[in-house]
Amino acid sequence: MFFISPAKLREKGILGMNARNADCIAKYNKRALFPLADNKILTKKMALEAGIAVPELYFEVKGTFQLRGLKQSLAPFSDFVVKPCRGSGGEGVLVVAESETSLNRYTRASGEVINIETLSYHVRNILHGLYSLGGQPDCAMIEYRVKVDSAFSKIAVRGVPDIRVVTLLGVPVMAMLRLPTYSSSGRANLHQGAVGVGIELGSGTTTDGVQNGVPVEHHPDTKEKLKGCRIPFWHEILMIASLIQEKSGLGYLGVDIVLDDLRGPMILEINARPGLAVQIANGIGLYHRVKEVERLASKLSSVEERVRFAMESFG
Amino acid sequence: MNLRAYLLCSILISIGTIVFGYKLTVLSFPLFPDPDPKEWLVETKISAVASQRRLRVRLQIPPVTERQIIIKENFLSEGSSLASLTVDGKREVVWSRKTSPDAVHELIYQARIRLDGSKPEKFLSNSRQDTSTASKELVSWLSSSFNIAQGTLAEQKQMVVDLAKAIWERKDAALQQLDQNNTSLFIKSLQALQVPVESSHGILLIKAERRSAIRNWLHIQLLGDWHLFNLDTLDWNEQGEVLHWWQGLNSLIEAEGVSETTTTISVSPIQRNSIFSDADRKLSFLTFETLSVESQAVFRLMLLLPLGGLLIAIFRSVIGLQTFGIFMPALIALALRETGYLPGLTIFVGVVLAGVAGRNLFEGMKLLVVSRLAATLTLVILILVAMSIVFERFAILPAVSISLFPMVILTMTIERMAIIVEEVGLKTAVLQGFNSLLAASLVFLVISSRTIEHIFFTFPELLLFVLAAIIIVGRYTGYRLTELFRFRSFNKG
Repeated sequence: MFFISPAKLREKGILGMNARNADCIAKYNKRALFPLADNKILTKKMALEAGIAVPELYFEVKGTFQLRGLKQSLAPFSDFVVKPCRGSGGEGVLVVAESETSLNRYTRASGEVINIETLSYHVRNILHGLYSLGGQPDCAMIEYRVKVDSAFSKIAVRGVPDIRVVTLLGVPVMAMLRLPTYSSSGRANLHQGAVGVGIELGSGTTTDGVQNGVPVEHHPDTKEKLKGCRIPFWHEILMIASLIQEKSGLGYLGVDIVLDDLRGPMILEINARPGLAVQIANGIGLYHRVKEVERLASKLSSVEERVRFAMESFG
Repeated sequence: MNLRAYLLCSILISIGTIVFGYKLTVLSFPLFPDPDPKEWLVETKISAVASQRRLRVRLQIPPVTERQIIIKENFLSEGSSLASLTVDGKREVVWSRKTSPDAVHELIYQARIRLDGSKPEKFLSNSRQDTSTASKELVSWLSSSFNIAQGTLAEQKQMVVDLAKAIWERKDAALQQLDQNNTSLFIKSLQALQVPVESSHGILLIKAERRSAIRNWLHIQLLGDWHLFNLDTLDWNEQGEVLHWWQGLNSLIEAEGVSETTTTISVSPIQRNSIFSDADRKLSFLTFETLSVESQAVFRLMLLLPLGGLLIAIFRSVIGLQTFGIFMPALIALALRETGYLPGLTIFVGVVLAGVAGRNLFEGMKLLVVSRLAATLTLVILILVAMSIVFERFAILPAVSISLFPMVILTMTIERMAIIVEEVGLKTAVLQGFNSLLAASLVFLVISSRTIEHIFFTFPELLLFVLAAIIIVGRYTGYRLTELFRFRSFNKG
């Protein structure tokens, strides 16, 4: 079947884009708080204040005047990630896996080799707002490159998988593992071709996945089975998601967490307008969970209680 | 929140219904446009830049005949003395005044005209026919193939068409030596054949227009009646919608002491049941028909824009198709309305494709973002200028209609498209471009309807309904049509 009837969607409790915008985002996310999610520097600060690990910020590039010294500033780091501070949807992210300053060679995660001129042109584009929301001038950040946790070594291709936890009023309601693929050129964004894999909230075990809206059982590149993978630090991941939500004040939040081989779970970014693909990855609708949380959230007083409730109810 | 929205909607709809109902039933405003309006408001606006201390502008004005009756005329200008004169059935008005160099003066001529197209044209005097200008070669060529003075009207008309075609095609070897100007050769030939002919200028009264084009016709007398011959199509023209303005080879205006003039003619139909009758003058604030014709044309367009916004809202929130930018399709649709659908679409696609190519060239030079955008904008304007020259050359479109293309929006579209190609892929970019065109076509279809234009112009209170509809669409939290496809995997089980 190519289409599904609205009645069936409703029966399955699928949250549509309009309902998400009106009943979740407009209702729970104050506009004044959006910058906390949109600006990754602010997100990092907030996470650190809450005692949550983040990829270390090496330095910020705030203006083109800093480009002259870019090479010098990058010299101490053997690998790093360049990002727009206010980017969206993974646009403008450049990962340098191997930096050889003396040779003017920077090897990207994709294998492509670039020089400092290309790199500073990229930074300049970021500064001029090419990738920022609404095209406003932006700043660029150079940060620690996350090393893929060995648990994911078989299903991570070219990039770093991340775990998207959607939380409502401090309660994790659904989560998925986002796996970069060759066709997503190493990015973990589903609309760019990454694979989304559902996660059972109770156990942290993966289910089947979805790529480009179509269900998949195996990773398209490594052919590894997607189902049944246990995510390490699962309880901690949910705690982090709930904690950052409480700290940010944004009621409906997508929290992107990465697992670093050395430093464990850290917050990569948070998203005040999390997408709906998580439903397809899990094969479950969000609507009923949203309603249940709306009904019970006031009775759950601490982060521990909320996470326990989520693990028990949304297994 | 929800309640407030619905409360507001019901208030809007109630006010709208009351005003609309009152105007429709009590004042009997016409709901549908008059399919064949008999009365028109015609406005000629001249703006003249003075070059000396004295300024004199002479404007030809339409003659009064049995088929075109001028009900009311206004001559507006501040501080000018005015003289109108009628010579040989030709009417003129002359404005003159003291001025200073570089001062700009606006002179307006307004006329309310009743047109009865069924009556034949009589205003032309039988002009003296001078056959002596015809060369021997012309006469001999004509005598070999044409003899118009005989036959029924239909046969004579066909003969004139054949003559025109022969001259424009120039297949005959005998024609190579003759006058190379087709129109003048055609006139000379008719004169040589003893057929009375007059060059005549006028405009078409078909729909409301902000810039009416002056057209040139030939009046040709066959069997005692004048008939209109169209030099563009080389065929006879129905006279019904033609407002005759002046005859002869003079130009519309002649000015002295003036360095520059611009003239625009705008027309607007007057509804049959219009309350713009003198009895109901106190209610005239309820209608825009008392405004100047040019402002009317602006209002006609402006009042349609919210409808475009509503359609885009439906397109995005109910159907769920993504477009480049939110209002880009609506603005493109407005431009299409001026240029016509296919020419406009060609321009749009051409500009975007060439723009994306050019933008990538600038990208390769590693320009700063703002400079690259400015460079793309320059490119967009260059392409638009080039296209308008080509289109004007081949008489597809008047160049001025292209100026309505939203250039900045086009530039941003090109930028968005190029980034999407780079970041997400060509497929998504093409898909979004296609969606945008689809949305623009949809909006175009609605706003180019004369009925809809008339309804919103006559009943602007209907915008309250549009606003209510926009609010309702804004509160629509159901599934989008595209989501029925997106979530199809939930079909199993």
